[in-house]
Amino acid sequence: MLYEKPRRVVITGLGVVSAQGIGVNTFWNNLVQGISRVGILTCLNLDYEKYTPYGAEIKNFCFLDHCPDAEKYIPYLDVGMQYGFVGAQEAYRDSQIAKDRDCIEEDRFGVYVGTTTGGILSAFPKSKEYVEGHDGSIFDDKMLYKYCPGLWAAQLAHYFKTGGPTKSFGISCSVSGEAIGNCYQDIKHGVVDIALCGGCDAPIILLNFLSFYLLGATSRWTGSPEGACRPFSKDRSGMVFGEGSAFFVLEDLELAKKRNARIYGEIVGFGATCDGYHMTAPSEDAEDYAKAIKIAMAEASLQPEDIDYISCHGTSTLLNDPAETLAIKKALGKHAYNTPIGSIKSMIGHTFGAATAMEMLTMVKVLQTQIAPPTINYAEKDESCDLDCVPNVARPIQCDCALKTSTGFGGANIALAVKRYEDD
Amino acid sequence: MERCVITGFGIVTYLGESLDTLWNTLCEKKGAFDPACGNHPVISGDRLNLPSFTAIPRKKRLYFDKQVVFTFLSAMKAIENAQIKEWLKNPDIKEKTGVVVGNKFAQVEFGIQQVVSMNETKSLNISPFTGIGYYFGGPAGEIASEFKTKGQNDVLVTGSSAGFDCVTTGYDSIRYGRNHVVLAGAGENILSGICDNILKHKLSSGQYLPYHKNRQGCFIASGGGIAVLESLSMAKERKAAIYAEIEAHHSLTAHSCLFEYNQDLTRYTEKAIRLCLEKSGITPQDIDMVIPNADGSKDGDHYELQAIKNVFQGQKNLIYTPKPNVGHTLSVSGIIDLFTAAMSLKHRTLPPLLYPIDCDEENTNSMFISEKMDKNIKRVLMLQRNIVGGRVGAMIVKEYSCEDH
Repeated sequence: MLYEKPRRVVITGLGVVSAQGIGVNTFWNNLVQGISRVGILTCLNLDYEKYTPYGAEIKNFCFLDHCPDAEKYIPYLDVGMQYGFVGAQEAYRDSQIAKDRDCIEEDRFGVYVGTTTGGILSAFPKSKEYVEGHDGSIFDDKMLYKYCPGLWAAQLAHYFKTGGPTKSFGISCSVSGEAIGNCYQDIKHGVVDIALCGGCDAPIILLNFLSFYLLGATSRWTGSPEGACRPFSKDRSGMVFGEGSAFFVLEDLELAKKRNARIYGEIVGFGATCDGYHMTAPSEDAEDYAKAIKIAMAEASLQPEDIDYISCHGTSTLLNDPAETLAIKKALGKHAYNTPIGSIKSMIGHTFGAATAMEMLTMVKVLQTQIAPPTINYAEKDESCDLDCVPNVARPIQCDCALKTSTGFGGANIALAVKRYEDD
Repeated sequence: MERCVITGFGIVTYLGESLDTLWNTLCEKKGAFDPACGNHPVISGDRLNLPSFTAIPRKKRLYFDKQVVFTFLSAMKAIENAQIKEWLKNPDIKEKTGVVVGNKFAQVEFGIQQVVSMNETKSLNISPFTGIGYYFGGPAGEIASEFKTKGQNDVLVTGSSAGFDCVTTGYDSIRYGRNHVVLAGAGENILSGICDNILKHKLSSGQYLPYHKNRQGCFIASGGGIAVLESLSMAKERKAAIYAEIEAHHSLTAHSCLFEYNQDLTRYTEKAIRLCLEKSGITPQDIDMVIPNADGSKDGDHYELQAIKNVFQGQKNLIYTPKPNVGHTLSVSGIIDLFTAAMSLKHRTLPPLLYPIDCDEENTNSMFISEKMDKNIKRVLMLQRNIVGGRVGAMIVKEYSCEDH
């Protein structure tokens, strides 16, 4: 059924897999301490001097340690989706839905997954084998499950026995924001009552790194690897790679109340626009990025003064950070200078399909703990990035309402507004 | 909430770019795969002859995978067909125009070309455009940056139902007031030697005979398709020709069918249909044609037909699919099905199935449309399902009437 009166959408479960740790508590504690996980990507076998191949890898990941009952899925799962399973499972457990499944209609339980690169980690070695002379039979039906993201959401639906819509998204690096935004809209308008949503990716392969390197998007830093990602700092030179997943349980407020769920926050606004300008470069005037923020705020009836924190895309590229800063200033006016912002990419790199979800999860923890994690490696003020990025050291803040901003190739801009939950 | 109408199509298949040619091919029972030439179950991207290719900006042609080419050309054609190009220059309209596109295989060919380049030259100087080309969301950004659209874009990578899902997502974004116009569709470049191996357990070694008792699977084909969706108020304002109106949709997931279909596929398909009918406030008797997924698989067609039979109880001359004519174009098939529905409504014609159905179930042959028929069609039900996995969707498209509310 479609509800004429929009419903309220709350967050009741969190899960994350990242180089900062597996599990929300480890992830959060390491973020607050400002620990960098960025190193040299030796797996790519590239000349360090020429390519400066940096990234934050998840070390010693063993899928069955976290999902021991999911062994049968392994032949069908790309590593990115293994991260997805673990992140989604933590969110599912955290929300304690299992004990309440009787009060949830199976076909009103959805799954929304975002991925930028899909099963590229599985497809690339097979592509190399094919090019080196193997025939096409090395591509089998299991590759269908690993490579094509359409089945990633279906795999989670199978594991968690959900019968509502399964949607996989792939717009760009902001894709998990796209998944969360669409999920939020579907709950708000009554398409589903509850859903798992988030994003995941394992994008660290040679082909992917080289393409970003050749576009001039990767960090050219020559100091210690931990310092390679420097969002908003004048000496930034590009992004570094990351990987992982982050998932949420979102649900209709009335359902959450009925089952006495712990509520982390309420999603109150979602805005999405497109620059309609360039495939890889953000629009310099940032008008459409600002518009996405304004749409999210308007949906939530928020004024600039209501915004207490912004979890940024903050890639550390020369073009993104000034454009994002300008967008925030255009949307928030003078209040932008009073609003702490931050980029956790400085510590865990750009996790592609997981990035926006991870950064939104960070924002939810800011709302919960009233602590803003640092943007590390900040060294020098850039006049075009002149907002308070909580440089280098975490800080207590008063935060009742926060924004997640995100952008990506194709000029996609996304903003999500989240408030601390208050009952009417 | 806003009503959502269809005002344009752009479709590229092995038949070319002409919508009339495609429709006539369906009505005249012509097919893509000539048995006299020996059946080969794949139409790769190389076999598409596209005169409009040169209309794509030269720089983009350097790095566009055919998957992007097919989506992009379809968007160009759809904009032309909807006569909306000049309107998209209006700042108020472009701000509320979104691009919602999808695919199943992304830009596999372009990616493979880069691997070949690395392998042959022993150099790491791959195309700097690899990052743009080799990801699933590329076509949305390319279309938006070409036509300067600034609304909410989405990329659905739900698999072979992606085109269908893009239409329903675009419909929702119009209904929710986020966009006034959506270019919704998909593109697919089937790379011979790879995509057919991945899908070989679904391909037919004989003919593509959905529902037939001797069915063995499907043929797959490359192509692209975009539908222009608009809010009714916008379409009225610019006095657009309206093909049809989208009335309702519903999607579910038969989660137990991830690896193998079972009876749940019938249960979920039937439920999706019934919920869709309920949203429209109509009964099964109000549906004049059903365009099912019809992938020719032994199990999938069986369970899907059970669901249709359960809902429609032997209604005659009801079921039609264009897939045997053009092949299963994976994510694009949802757009070709939508086009078929819209043209059937427009021409008040039920197109005939390419092959006569000799079904292995009693009393069901009469449910299929075997000959072209004139009929005052009011509503068409479309069904979609991923080629594997248990995702099912239903959508109702109806004749536009200014008197409806």
